[in-house]
Amino acid sequence: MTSDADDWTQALAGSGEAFGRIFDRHRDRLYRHSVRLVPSPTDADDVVAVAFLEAWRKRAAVRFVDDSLLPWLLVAATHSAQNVSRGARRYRALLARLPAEASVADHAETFGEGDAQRELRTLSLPDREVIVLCVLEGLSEREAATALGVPPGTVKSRLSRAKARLARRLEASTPTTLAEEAGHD
Amino acid sequence: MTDRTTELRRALVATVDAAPYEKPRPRRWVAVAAIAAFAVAGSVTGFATATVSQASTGAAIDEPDDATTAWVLSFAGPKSELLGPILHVDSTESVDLALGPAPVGATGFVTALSCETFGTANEFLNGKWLGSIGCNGDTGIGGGGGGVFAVSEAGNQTFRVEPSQGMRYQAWIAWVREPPQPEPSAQQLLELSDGVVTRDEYIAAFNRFIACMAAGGYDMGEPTLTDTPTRFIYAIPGAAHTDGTDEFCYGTEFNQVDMEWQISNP
Repeated sequence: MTSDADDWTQALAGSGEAFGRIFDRHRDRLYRHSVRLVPSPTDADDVVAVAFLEAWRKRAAVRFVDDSLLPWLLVAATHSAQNVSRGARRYRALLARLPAEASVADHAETFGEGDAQRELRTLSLPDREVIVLCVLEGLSEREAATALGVPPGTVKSRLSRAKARLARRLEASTPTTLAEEAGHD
Repeated sequence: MTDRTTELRRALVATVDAAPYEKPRPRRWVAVAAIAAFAVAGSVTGFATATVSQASTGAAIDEPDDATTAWVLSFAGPKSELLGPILHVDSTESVDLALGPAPVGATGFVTALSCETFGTANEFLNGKWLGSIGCNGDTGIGGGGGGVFAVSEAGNQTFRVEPSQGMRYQAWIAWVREPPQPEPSAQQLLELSDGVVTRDEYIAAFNRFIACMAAGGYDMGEPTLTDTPTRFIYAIPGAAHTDGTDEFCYGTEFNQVDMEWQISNP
């Protein structure tokens, strides 16, 4: 099986199908990631689309972590989710042509919606980035640092502060914590 | 796969297929598991200039030959211009290069790295990891890569190369000014304004692209127009890419219309 980096090289040489393989590999996980960050599954669909379109538009600047594009895509989706309408505007013509999702979202895709998830959406973008990458997606601090383009120490300190801020917001709300939802810290 | 997902995938594939060419990007980003601190050794062999203020370990400011200059510039966009000298390093050790502040007009700095033995070299700007370039049995010795990095922080810039144990490498670095990306013409924007590109608009935009290329001195011959799907089949003279004419003409007159048309009419 080819890696993202191999497929990326082929895509840059003009192979759309190689880019399609990257899409096949990461679309589902990117959707599960995105659905936590936006109010509706429809918005999550747009976030996924914009993340892949941005990957191609910014193809000179994407980063791989151990030959995987996933961390970069997760960051792109997090940015896109910050302002879905702005991100979608650039690609409005394409998004408008995509058929609406006919089926209702799978329960597994919406499981976990709770105070933690709602509070997550209220965090600042830098806080949200490290929480979703390191806590929800399980990336190491090194992997997150590479994807975000910051030193690992910055991720560590930012993560610590973000978790503290999130915990304070949750104190008065619900016993369900983000870490419990994710299954690990 | 749902209809929407299938359609999105098809659109992405078409978008990539629609790109007429890609500037070679030999840089390949690969994260390494750990980057050990490396004691800087060696003596200062560089000398100060107005733009590359200090070369601080085993580095020198060369008078590169034309081929080397062209190779370094190949990692920047067409019509890019080097601002000041090229700093050159030939080393097996970690090297810090003090670039000083960005000169007026610089859009970033361009790096080129060549592997003289197998190994991986990590690159950093002001302590922030930029990426790595490696040569192994697949790439062979003499491979490498490069690219342009924008500078987001004001003040003095320090570029660092950290090779893996025993790796010998050469690196070249210089400030560079890349030309701005061409803006779509008013006519192209008009064709895109309603979100739909018609066949007539596609053909009109292509004809403007051809006219622009001709004005730049490049005869595109007689491009073929296929019916199913409607596509122009044409070849771009290599020189037109090198000197930026194609990038300018395609971006100004045809790029976005071409994308929209090909996505809408696979």
